[in-house]
Amino acid sequence: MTVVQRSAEHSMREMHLVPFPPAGAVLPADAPDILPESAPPTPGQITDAIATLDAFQLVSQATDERCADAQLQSNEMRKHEQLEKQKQSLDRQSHDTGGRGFFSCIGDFLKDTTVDLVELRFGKLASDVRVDGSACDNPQFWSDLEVGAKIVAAVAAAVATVMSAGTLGPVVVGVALALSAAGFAIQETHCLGSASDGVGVGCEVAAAVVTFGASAGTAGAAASSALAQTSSGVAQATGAGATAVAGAAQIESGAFQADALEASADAEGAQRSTQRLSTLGQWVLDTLRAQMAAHRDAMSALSTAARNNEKASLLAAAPLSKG
Amino acid sequence: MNVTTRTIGLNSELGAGGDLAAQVALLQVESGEQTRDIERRIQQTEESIAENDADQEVDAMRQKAHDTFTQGMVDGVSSMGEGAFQAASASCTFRSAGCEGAAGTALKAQGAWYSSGGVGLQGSSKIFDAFEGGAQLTDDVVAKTRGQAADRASRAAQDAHDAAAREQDAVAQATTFFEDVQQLRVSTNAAILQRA
Repeated sequence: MTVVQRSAEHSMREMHLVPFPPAGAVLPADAPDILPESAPPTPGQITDAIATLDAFQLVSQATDERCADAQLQSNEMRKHEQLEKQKQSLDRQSHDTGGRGFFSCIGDFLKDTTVDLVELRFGKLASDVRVDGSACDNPQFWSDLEVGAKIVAAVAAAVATVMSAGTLGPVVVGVALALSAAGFAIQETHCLGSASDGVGVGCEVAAAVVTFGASAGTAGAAASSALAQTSSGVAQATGAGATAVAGAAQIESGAFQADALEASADAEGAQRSTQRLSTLGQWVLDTLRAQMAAHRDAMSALSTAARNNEKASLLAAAPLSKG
Repeated sequence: MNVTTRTIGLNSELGAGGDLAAQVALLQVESGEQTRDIERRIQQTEESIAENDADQEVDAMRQKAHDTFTQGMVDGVSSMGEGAFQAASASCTFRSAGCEGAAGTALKAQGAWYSSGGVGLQGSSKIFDAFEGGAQLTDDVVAKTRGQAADRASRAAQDAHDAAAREQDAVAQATTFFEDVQQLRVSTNAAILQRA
């Protein structure tokens, strides 16, 4: 075994020391032939060859192990990064879908402001306003504000219509409300199949047109009382303000929803990457296992070959000694 | 590398003596290697398909986020515009309260026109919502379909990997078979010589 190892090391050292010609180099005509002679190998040469192959197997096995180890470590690092990214995305998604409602935020804001003003702590007032203001910037707050502003706008529109349309007002408001509610219900329940969205939108537009028609109809009618007109104007102005606030809240709410969906997409992408890296890691391990088995087989084959070579040498020598 | 080395050995054996055992083992090894290469290629292809489909799934989800943002922005801006029209209409209503006759009627008419602008914006926004809702449903369907396709491709890649591993075993069995035959041959020769 020692002889075999020494022979292998010798062969390996020789291989490393052989100068390799550069790419494209032309060898001189009198260059020595580096190919082995074609004479049949002696038993000693076969032993050397087997030892060299044995050494190659050991080197190859170590290289395979190192490669697999590096690949697994790289995979683990990337998997860790992806898991971190997934966690951050899920946190972002959670932040963009929750939060305290409108009344809770406003209640805290008013309480802190009042306490600071009463106790004359103006320095703290600024920081409280800033903290409570940033706490209000959450999806639930904007969603509540949007819904509330829309309700205020709808009530104001109804009041304005009643005031300006005189006796026809309640009827018009009733019809408009019925149309609007029907449109909302159809869109939410999808009771009319694929046509639900179209019909729902149509009902809501019809409600708006009825309201508008009632208002426009009064334009040419006899002048109503100044009080009624002023009330109608106040209601319209309130509705205008509420509609504008609802619009601003809708933009914020939509931005939060979109960001939550974006975070969900990021989380999904990171989860897919993590799964893929896990599978790749498993495949690297499988391949390494197969390579190890192949190395074992090859070593076994080499030792069998060495034994056979020894037996063949003995058999070749036996008839001669007998003769 | 190992299999290649051993295949070269088998080739030499086949070239040297035309041995039947070597031929059988060599055929088995070559067939196993070819099948394994094919399975590896299938695995790589399915893997890249899975990756591509997963990317498209995430893209569709991002598109839905983009559509949602656009919808919120358009709705919000149109609501603010509607509020502006309503404010203009309210201004006309206030001014008409102090006017009598033709001037008051003209202001009322002007207010009604402003209101109609608001209604028009509201209607346009609703129609846009309907289209955006459809686009978001499409994004959902695309994301779901691509996700399922990615799962299918991942499973196919795993199957190809398993098949390649089985072929590796078949190659190992072929070489073991050849080694056994060689061993038997040496033992037989030794026995014959011993008897002689």
